This record gives sequence, structure tokens and C-alpha cells, in this order.
Amino acid sequence: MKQFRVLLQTEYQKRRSSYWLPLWIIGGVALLILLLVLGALIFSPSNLYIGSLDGGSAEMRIIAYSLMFSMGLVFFVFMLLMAQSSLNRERQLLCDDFFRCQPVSILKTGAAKYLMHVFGGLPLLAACALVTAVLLSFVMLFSGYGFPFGAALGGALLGWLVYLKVCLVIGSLVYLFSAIFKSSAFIKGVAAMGILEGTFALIETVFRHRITLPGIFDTLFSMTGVIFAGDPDPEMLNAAAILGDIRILGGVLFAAICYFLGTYIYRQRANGES
Amino acid sequence: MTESTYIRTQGLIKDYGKLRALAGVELELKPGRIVGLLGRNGAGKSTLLKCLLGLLRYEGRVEVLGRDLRAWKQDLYARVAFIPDVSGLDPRLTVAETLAYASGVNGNWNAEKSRRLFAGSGLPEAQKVGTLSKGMKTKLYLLLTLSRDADILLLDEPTLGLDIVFRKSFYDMLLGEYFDESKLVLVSTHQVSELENILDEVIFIDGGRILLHSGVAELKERWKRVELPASREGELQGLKLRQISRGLGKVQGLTEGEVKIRDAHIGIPALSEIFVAVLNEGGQES
Repeated sequence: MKQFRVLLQTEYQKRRSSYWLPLWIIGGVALLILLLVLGALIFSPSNLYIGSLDGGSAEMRIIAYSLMFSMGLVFFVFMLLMAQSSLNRERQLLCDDFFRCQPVSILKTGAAKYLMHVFGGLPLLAACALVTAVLLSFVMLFSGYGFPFGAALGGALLGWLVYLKVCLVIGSLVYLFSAIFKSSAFIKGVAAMGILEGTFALIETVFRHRITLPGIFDTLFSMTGVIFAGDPDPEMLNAAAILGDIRILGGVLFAAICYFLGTYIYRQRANGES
Repeated sequence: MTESTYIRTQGLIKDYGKLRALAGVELELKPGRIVGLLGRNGAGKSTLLKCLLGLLRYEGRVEVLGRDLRAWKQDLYARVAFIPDVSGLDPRLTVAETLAYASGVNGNWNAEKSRRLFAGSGLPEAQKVGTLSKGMKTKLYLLLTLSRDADILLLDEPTLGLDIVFRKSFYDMLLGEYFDESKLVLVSTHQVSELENILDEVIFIDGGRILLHSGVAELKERWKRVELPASREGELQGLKLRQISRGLGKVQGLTEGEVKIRDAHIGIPALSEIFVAVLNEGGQES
């Protein structure tokens, strides 16, 4: 256990900035918005229109979810950057032999990398959810709608749950890509999937659409169960709908396959690279 | 393989595509020895070391500490340590983080020894490894390795590109802090002259083949440097002379075995001279 804790800690230390940069970006954008709002309040309050609110729970959930969706996008970009170099970065930095010549099982090393690079942003995003809910509740309080902390936190946590599902599916796939490709794994992996999708389309055309092959990108997207922030259906925005979706089982299974396959390829490489 | 043999290879072959990097290497290395692996660039030194570590796929058989290398898992690296030719530490970690990692994953970490070694090292703990000089990186790598109680230490040109003072302190530390009768050190190097006095055995490798594997003392007993005035060069014809050089009215060369020439100046050649002689011979040694 101590060894695994050290592995997790080292993975964090190696990519410390990738965990904190999303927070700095979100904080910067939030500060900019705040300054603009303050400027508008001071210099032209009559032109400031923030929309009509009814202060209801559903509305709070949608607002909090939408905010978390935007923040999740920032975290998602950094998750992709980390996951795509999960199993090949040390090789690029010419320090692979140092880590390979340590008495640590490859499965443990792979697990530490997978957890930290794919899911490492979740605790910080959870903190963002809490801060978002608090700030939103205070905004509503000052606007005369009470203090809807429960609804705001619920919406924010739903956004966090959706991000977790996206990490599970997309992050795991990119982790697998990092075992297959030595560099730019995300781009190369997406290109390979694009070629496969094109081949499927070609086969369907050749057979005059008498056979239907699965759309790779559609299937992936479906497994993530993303509800877009633009105009979410309030009925869909609840934990039961997000977690109870049968597709999540497919996502978990898919993530497990990606993790084991990626780690297996990594182990084969480490046990005697040709 | 006897119990005291730490490394044994039989018919070890490694191909990189069409290039044969190792061509049937046969070796037997025992503990309590410092063995020098000498060869030109591209001779197969690094490939041999990486095969012994299981970092490369190979044909043939390699036994490490009495077990087939293929049967070892990662626990091999609790017993075998390696310092590569480039400063292969992670540049993103600080010195302290690298130390914490190495001590945390190695069950045979000697904490007391580590504290003592690092206390007097002058290594800046908070500094990122990527910003250290090559000498500092090598020192860090060495101290991390010395803090473990590994049975076998493989070194691949560890002091390449470092100044002579550092190189001397590197090998002094290796001898003082690591080496004893239960340890085996296999060091690949170009700087033969500096290691001459600490090596027990040498292996000459070229074109992926072992040209010679011998004890250093035995080798120096066998090889002679013969020097005669140029006017008496004809007397050398009976000897199988190698590395012949002429100058300042003298002729000299290297030979094996007894030399019975009246008034000839006979000396002990340096390891580097024997190496070049054997290399030029094209592998007739064994």
C-alpha cells in the first residue's frame, strides 16, 4: 500500500501544473467576468440585463450544471493532455529505464498512472462544484430569491458526475492510445478511429446498406451520456437519470477493457522492448 | 551454473532488424569482481547490459542470480541496479521527490546509509532534476543506487562527459560505499586507463562477439611490451608482434608469452594497449 501511495504521489508531482492550471484558467475567467459585471454596475447599471429568473430548484440545477459543464471542459482538455502521454512520456524524456528498473509491478505502475491521469482532476472539480454552489446561492440571496444552496449543489454535482462518466470512457480510451502510440497519442488514436469509421461507411455502401455497422464516435458519445449545457432537459438532470442509465454499465466495461489492454501493452513493452 | 555465479549467458543473440548486435555471447560472472566491458562505439556493450536487465528481447539464455531471466518479474530490480549512459532521471521531479520515490518503492532501501550519503552530497533538494548539471545528475543517480542493497550493479558509461575529478570520486565512492565480496559490478567504459587499477576482469567486445574475457592480472602477466633499438628489428621476427610502432630509433610492439631476446626492454602494457591489439587481431582471442 505504501508503494502504491508513493506511485500516486510521484505521478502527481510529475504533472503538478496540469492539475492546477485548469483552476487558474477558471479563476481567471471568473475574475474577468466579475470585473466586467462590476464595471457595468458602476458605469452603466441600466444596461445590465441578467435575464429573468424564477429562483426555482430546477432553474438552479440547470444554471449550476451549465457552469460545471464549462468548467469540466477546461479540466477535460488537461485530462486529455495527461492521458495521451500516460504510458509514453517517460520514454520521450529518456527516463524510462530508471522507472522500469525499480522493483514495482507494472500493474501497480499502470494503475497509478491511470488513476492520476484520467481521474486526477476529479477532487479539484468537486471543490469547484462546492464553490460554484456557494457563490450561486449568495448571488440568488442578494437578488432576493433566498439561499438555494441544495439545488445549486445538486446541479453542480450532476455536472461533476457527467465529467466522471466522460473521463471513464474517453479518458480510458486515450490511456489505451498512450500505450499504442509513442507520441501525439490522442490525435493518432482519433485518426485511427476516423479511418475505421470511414471503412465501416464504405462497407455499408458496398453492401447497399443491407448491413449496419456501429458508428464508433456515436457509440462512444452515447456511452458518456453527456447532456449538453446549452438547453438541458430538466427531467434528465438528476442523479438517477445520469447514474441509472444502462449505458453506464457499457462505459464501465469499456473503461476496464481499455485499462487492462493498455496496461498489458505497456507491460509487454517493459518486459523486453525490441 | 554454480551457486556463486551471478550472471551467465548462453548463445545470447540480439538482432535489431537485419543488424546483429549480439552474436552468441557466452559469459559467466561471479561475485566479488569488478568487471570492465570494453568495446568500440556500436560494439554491443549497451545492448548486452540491457539484455542482462531484461530491457530488450533476446534469443538464447540469460541466468541472473541462478534464475532464468525470463522467469524473473519486477522483483529482479530489487537485486540488480543499473546506471545508464545518459542521466536518465525524470527532469520533472525535484531531487527530494526523486529520493522519496526511490526510497518509497524499494523495499531494500537503506535509510541510514541514504541519509549519510545525501547529507554530504551538496545536492540541492528543492531543485528540479532537469536543471541540475550532468555531474549532479550522475551523482544523484549514483547515491540513489548506493542506497539500495543490490547484489549486482550494471553501469553503462556512467561518467561519460564528466571531468576527471568527478570521475575519480565516482569510482572511489563506488568502491567505498558499495563494493564487497558479495557484489558484482559490470561497468562498460571507454576510459580504460582510469579503471585499470580497480578492475578484476575485462571483457573485450566487438561486433557483438566477445573477443576476450580474462582476469586483468592474468592478462598483464601474459602480454608483454617489447622494445628494441631499430637496428635490431630483425630479432623481433620470431615473435607474433602486434601494435608495432617505430620512432626515436626504437621499435616496439606487444606480444603474448615468453620473450627471450637479449637486452630487450620488456614492460607491462596498459589495458588499453592490449585492448587495441586484441581488437586489431580481429577476435582470435578467446
